[in-house]
Amino acid sequence: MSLMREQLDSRKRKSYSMTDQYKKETAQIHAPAALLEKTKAAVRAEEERIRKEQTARVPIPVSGLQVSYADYVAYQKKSSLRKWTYPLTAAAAVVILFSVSMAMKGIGDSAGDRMADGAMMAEESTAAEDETFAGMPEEMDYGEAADSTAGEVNANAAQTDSMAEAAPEEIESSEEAAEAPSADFAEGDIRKQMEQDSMKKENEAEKGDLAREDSQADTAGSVEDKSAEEYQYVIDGSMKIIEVDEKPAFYHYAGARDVVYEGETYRVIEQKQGWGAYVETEEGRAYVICGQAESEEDFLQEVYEAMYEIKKSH
Amino acid sequence: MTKEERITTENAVDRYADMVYRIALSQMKNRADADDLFQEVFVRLVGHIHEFTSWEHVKAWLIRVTINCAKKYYNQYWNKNVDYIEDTEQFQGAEAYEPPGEHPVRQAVARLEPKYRMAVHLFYFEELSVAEIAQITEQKESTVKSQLHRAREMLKDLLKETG
Repeated sequence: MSLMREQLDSRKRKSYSMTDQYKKETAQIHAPAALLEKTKAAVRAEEERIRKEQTARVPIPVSGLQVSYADYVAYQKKSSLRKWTYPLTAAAAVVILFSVSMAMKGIGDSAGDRMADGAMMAEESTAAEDETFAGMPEEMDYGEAADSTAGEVNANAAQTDSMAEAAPEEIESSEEAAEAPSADFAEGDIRKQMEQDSMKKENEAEKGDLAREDSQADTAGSVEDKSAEEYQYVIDGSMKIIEVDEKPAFYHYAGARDVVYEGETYRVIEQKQGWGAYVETEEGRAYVICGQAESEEDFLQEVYEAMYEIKKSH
Repeated sequence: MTKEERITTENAVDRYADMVYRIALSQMKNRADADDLFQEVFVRLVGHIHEFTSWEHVKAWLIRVTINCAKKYYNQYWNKNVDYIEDTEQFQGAEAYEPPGEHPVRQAVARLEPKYRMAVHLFYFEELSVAEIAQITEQKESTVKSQLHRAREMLKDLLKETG
């Protein structure tokens, strides 16, 4: 009988879940009475302080001097205007600083443009001799910081190259001119002709190689630029998400690793600019996410939230 | 409206003292700091009490300000660089505010990071919804869900460790 009762009791006994247990334990905590009294006293003191402050704003009439209601209203208006003085002054200072910095930036940009224009003019004058290299300096992109110096270096290179290329042509043309009068070829002339032909072929092959290199350089530059633009870390701390068609470069870096967070697998890397992650969704979309965070976990949490919003929108 | 029902700071202290105190205790590293936080929250309320039209608003404001003041306290430079002796007597001893005894779940919750502790406390004890917690803590709902999920996982592991 007692055994049955025990079994019944155990069945009836409430099985606490973890959360019920937490509620039970927390419900036993109460703010101590001493703290309540101390806080109420502080609250009363604060109320008194505010009341005195509000009273002090009204001008106290000095004996012999009547303060009219109009005077009081004028005083209130003045004080309400006065409180805007500092914010407006600060805003004006910010606007002035901003416009000065923009002006300085404009001066810097125009100086860089002038230098680049000078380099371009030099390139055009030399490139007119050889059409193959006319577009080379214009097409290659060296980025903003290196615009002027790279342009100059490139102009020099182009000039040297075009001169080097021009030289065999000059030689050819001079040789051709020398040979033109004679229509009959001796054996030495045949050998010379063969040499000239082979030199011509070499020149053409070299031009073709250079052209191929140019096009590859253009592609590489544009991909790099695109990559730099696509995967550029945002330095103001906000998250940046880009839908991509292929895995990013950092996917294969040594520092990248797979991390599973909330059931999703992310390819995560930490670089000096911040964190980056790559993820492929069930719908077949792929995203690169960049941002700053204090830890990998914080970053992944923000990534998870951002992806949640994106999935909802799709 | 009776005197006790009027929205005043003193009435708010009587109504919500336990709630604010539990949140303060869960966020701060020791009891002295929790007491200071508790007092600061209600002193701040004095300047804003006239803005509220219902006790629900007051409650939401108190929770938010308690959390924000705790965060500000954590982020203070001297707090980051000074080693505080955590109050290990929180759950036992003569000056404990609860009867001494085993409180395994609270102790496990205390080992979580503040953001997870807050999500657990507001959801399971204050019984607020995810949307309400998101609004009060100024986070996205997905963030709150993620925090609750991770907190549950971590608590399970912690409770398994302690048996």
